[in-house]
Amino acid sequence: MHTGGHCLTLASVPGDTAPPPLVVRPLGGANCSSVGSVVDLLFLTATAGGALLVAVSAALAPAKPAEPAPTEPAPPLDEDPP
Amino acid sequence: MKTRLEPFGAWVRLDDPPVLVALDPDQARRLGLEGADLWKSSTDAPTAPVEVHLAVNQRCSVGCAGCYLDATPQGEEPSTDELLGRLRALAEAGVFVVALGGGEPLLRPDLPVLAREARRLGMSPVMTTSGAGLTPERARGLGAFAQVNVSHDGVDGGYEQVRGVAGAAMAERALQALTEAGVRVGINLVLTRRTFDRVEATAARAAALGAREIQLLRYKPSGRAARLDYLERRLQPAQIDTLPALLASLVRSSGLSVRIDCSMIPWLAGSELDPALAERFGVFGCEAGRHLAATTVQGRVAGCSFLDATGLLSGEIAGSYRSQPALAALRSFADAPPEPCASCPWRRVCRGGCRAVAAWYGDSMQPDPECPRVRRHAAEAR
Repeated sequence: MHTGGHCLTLASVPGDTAPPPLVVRPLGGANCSSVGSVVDLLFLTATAGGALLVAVSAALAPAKPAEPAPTEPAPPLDEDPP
Repeated sequence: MKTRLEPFGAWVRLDDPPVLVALDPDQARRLGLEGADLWKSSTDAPTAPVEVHLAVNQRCSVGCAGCYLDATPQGEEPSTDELLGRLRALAEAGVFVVALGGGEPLLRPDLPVLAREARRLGMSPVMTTSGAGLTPERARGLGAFAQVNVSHDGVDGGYEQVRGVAGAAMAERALQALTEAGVRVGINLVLTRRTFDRVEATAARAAALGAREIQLLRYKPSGRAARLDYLERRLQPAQIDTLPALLASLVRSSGLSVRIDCSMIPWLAGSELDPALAERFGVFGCEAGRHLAATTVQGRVAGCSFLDATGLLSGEIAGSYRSQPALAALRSFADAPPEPCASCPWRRVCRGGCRAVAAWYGDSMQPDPECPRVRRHAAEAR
């Protein structure tokens, strides 16, 4: 059966070099009876799927250590700290 | 970022992009997560559903001919406190999405309260409505919902043919009011023999009114639809065979995101689509008792809205979802299905089709009789 265009496969989806997540499930949707799956990425170009995987990888990347804050002179203490 | 440990690793919800991501243990550890005993579990049963359908009433005055819940104007309706308690129980279990439905949710004045509480508890609230009674003022009060879907089964008389009531204009007024109120909206369209040819025209109408998504739903023999005329009203085999081409056309030209319900995955299995790609992007078949559960108006948990309730109460999901026998049985079917599912390349994704449809045909633990592969298998056996 033809789907009306090219046949996209997982192998044709470009992504980051790191292993991709097991599953990437687009959120949204609102149905009170059956759970729904977005099928857009099964029919769009490989670039669309790859772009999503890259965005997910970036969002999951461990945050860089925060830059140390500029040192300021400590204010004079009125009393001993606990 | 919201996370939940699972036997496979962890679920992680991202806000940008808005996705739910399944990670293996190594990937989860990079985020600082540690599954300990759960990652050594001998079962892959999920700790809780990802999405729960919360029935906020069984009351509705529209009277659709095929209502899956057999809702009536005098139907049951839990109190606000009861629903708030159920929301807290779902949040405690780690549920990500709570879908409010009925009956007709708009008959309740407390929807903004319920949606805000779901948000406060870290869940994403969504809702389905017929649009009956939705004024612009009420639409403006629904801003806490992540999305509201309006049932719209077809332009040019399609709605009336399916539901027996002329509700298309009501649905379109609701779409417009929600769009103007800034609420993200979509439509739910039940696929039947009569609506199938109008899907693209209906999608175009919905898009013009501001809809962002179309969710296609399989007509299922449940509630008032569980009658013999189901066989005449359901999508016909020749229409099922052309569904992948229709989806491709909708994705490429409607301007809407396209979603299909989990019972429809068998209808993709005969296409040239790649099941591994479907799995990677979260396109899965029967989710009942796995990533999906439903709570009835009485607060009992079912595998989905179309299946009988189990003895599990919503307040017990957090500790007992994995072990509840009826839910475990639903999951187990996909682990060792009979032919022709056993040798199907879509088996891991499809999971044997819809259990509710199989039950109507006589045995919920048999392959979905309306799957094209199952149809062919049965014909060859005769």
